[in-house]
Amino acid sequence: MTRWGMVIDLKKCESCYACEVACKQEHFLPPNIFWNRLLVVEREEQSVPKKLVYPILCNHCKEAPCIKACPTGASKRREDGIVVVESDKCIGCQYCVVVCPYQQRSYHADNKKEYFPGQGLTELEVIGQKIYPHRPGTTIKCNFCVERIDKGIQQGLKPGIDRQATPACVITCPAKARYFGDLDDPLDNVSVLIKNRNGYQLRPEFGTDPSVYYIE
Amino acid sequence: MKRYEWMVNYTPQTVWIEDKGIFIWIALYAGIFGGGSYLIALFFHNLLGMFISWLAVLVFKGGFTILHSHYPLKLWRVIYRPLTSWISKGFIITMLFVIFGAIQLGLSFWMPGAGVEVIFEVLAGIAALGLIIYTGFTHSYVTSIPFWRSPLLPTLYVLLSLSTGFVINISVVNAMSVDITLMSTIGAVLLIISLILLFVYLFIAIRIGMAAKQSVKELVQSDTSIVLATVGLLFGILIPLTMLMMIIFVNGIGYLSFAITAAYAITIGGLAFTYLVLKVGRYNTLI
Repeated sequence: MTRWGMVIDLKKCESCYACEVACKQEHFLPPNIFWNRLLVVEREEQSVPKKLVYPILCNHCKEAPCIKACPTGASKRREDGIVVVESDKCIGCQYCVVVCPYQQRSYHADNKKEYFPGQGLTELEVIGQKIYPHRPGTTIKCNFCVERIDKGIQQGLKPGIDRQATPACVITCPAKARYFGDLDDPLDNVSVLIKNRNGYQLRPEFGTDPSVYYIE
Repeated sequence: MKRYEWMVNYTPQTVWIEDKGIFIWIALYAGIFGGGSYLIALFFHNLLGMFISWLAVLVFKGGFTILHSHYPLKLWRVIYRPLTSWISKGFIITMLFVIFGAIQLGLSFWMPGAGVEVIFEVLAGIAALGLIIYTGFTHSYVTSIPFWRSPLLPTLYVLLSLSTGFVINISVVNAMSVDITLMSTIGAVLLIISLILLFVYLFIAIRIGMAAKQSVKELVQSDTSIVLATVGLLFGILIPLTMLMMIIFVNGIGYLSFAITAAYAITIGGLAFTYLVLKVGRYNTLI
């Protein structure tokens, strides 16, 4: 069974924020909502300052607490492992937002919030609300660009290899630090990377079994 | 919190305390208030107390839940996941309480002593107990906020609910039909146990981990929290305890003014406590 996952190479990541912007553009995300973020922190290791950069997004966890917490069944896990929110079922209780240990869910309050307050919605925002509408009063989150994946598979393309079928953040990365593929296929690029380069999950002690791995 | 501190420092929980999230706070407290008061009123056959509690749940819990939802007409979907979701369980319990409570109140008013009244008393009582319990478990299920993830939190909510129930019922009960001194004694004991358990809860929270410790620090060090903690402790426990002690001291004579003061105080204190628990919740850092 396919289980889509992502591997992020922290050594290659340049913290250029291209993934964050690409995701914003791809999904016409409202102001202050990010599905892809970079966590940047400085730590001292053996008296040497070190900059740690972690690109984070929804981990599409195998044991997702958000799915269990959802009272309406709006949050569900597809057969291919992608966790999606069916906005027509979501009532906006935000319990899934509270419960997520990675805080990768956002509550979209309304469509009237402008990127430039007091100046009305820009043409791009107006078009974006038509092309990729986000239902106000519901929870939204990264969906691994599920539309691209589904359309690509229909056209016989391979997600993770063919650009049109691969998530926007993966194909945008100028350092090619992101890989996308089938975690359940031992021969897939992502599985090989995790095995050969000791891929690890972020905060495995949360017990959610994320589908996003990191390599260094 | 600055943007670059998000999930790198101990990030506060905000969705259930800011903007429309404030309605969740009132809805959660209304359940605690109504459930405990109803249960105690049921035990002492205080019809007025039962009605006030039932109305509080219907109007405040129901009303603020509807106000919070962007799609109130879709709220019925909440019943779909009772096996895994505490919101689903809570909604079903609340609905059962409203329905059974309404029937029981009607039967107690028009057909007191009937066999069917007893059946609905039991059903309404179980639903009221469920109402008290589910609030705490809604919090403790959230493993991502260590301060909430404690079996002591549901216990604290139960104690808060029952002590609120005693205090509220003392102020509305018919003094000829119940022993006010006994009710005050039980209420006072529950308040003392709540106070002790609260300190135990905070003591243990400091030792759970850094995120929970940060929550306790926020409770005692930030300006808003100090005020609220003082209000919570003063109004939630100390004033009601003092009033109950006065009622016991005067052996129930002229108790009403003390009881009403205690009722107002414990309501304010309960609201403050519920608000604080929501406000100081902190997530673990990611890196």
